[in-house]
Amino acid sequence: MSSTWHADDLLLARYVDGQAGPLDGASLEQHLLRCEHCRSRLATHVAAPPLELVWTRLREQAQAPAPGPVERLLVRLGVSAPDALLIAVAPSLRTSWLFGLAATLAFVVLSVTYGGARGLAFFLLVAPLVPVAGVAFAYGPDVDPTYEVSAAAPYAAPGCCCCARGGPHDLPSAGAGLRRTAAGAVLDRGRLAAPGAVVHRRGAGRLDLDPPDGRGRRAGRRLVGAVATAAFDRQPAAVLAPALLVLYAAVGLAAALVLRLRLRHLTLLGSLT
Amino acid sequence: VRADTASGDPELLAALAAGDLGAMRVLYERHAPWLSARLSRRCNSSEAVADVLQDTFMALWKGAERWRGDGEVAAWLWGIAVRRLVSRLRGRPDALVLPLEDLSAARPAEPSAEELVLLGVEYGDLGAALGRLSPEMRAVVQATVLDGLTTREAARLLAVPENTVKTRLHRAKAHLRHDLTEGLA
Repeated sequence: MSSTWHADDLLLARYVDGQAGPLDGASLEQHLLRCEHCRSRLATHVAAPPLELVWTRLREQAQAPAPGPVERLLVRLGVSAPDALLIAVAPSLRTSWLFGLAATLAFVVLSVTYGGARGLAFFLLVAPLVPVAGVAFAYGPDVDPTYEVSAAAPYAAPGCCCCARGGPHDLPSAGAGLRRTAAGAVLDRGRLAAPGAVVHRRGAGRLDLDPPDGRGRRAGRRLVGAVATAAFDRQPAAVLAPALLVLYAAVGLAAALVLRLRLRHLTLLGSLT
Repeated sequence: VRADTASGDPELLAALAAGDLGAMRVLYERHAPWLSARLSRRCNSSEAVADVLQDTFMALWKGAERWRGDGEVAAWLWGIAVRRLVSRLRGRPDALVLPLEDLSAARPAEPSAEELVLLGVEYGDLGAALGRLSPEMRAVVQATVLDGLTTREAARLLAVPENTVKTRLHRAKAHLRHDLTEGLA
């Protein structure tokens, strides 16, 4: 199409500012589709930095390797992209991840089926403890590649163990998945919108270099506070119900068992026990 | 296939289909500015505009071979971009879409009688007639007639039922026809 009409600079500037009237704007838009000359002149009126930003993102996205079938499936199922990548490229993590997922789902199903108000209190009490057990199982020179690093920390191992709940190596364990789903489940049930859930989420997938004891203590205080507030706000007597006492005993027993099993690895120097 | 800044758009598209990122850069420099300006007139969130721009060129990167080779590459790109905009704005009822700008915005100050006469000459009756349409009708005219969306896509963009789009477009055309024939008489 041979066209002798071209937009003047004033119109182009007003168009880019959104100040051109409807008819001018629409005419220019139709003209731009066919006129390379006016398109390149319009480009001088458009601010470049935002476009460069988009280009950077675009280049990264275009050059990123295409995700494999496993990763795509996981993302489609709702797993976050970094987690999906980790699971897809590290086959050794897959089994434990699947196991953790199955355990989480079983726990959720059980708590929904059999849990009443009591179940909720129990859940709020146990949910923060399970990840600690997970970390304790994943701690020690034979399973944890970063054991030497954590052993060099000037803190007692049980404390380290409690602090490490936010670390990346409990991601494939029951911990991260359980905490996330657990937080979601609490929210879904529409009650006790959960200071506890917030604490869980804050811990998920984070590794920073706060002094571990301060952080551990803070987290501990927060968790205890959360569980206590949540439970007492609803039903002060719930945490002392006889049926729960048995469960407390069971959890305590399990914790003692785990501690006994792992004690050798939980000291700074194995020979000191 | 190698392409450089002197190549035409179709050659660049062919190079891009063969995986040449440099060709996409050239196309981006040519088309991103006007696309972003045009999208900004339809959506007042710069973040959404940036997302749509990225989506559009990503679609190009993945599906450059889908270009049939006829017509203008620019028009084809706009077709992709405006549909990406529709899906980006889906479920956003907070009215991100601007209808064709208010005429008041086009004239910051009250125009003098002289200017009004000049404007009348310059814009003709269509501009005034468009200006007399209600904002809802103008939005429908813009989405369907000017942006080339189907009735269904326009309905999704404007968050109204399809039949409403049809009715409004019908009425808008009747209004315009009426106004223009009155102006001639």
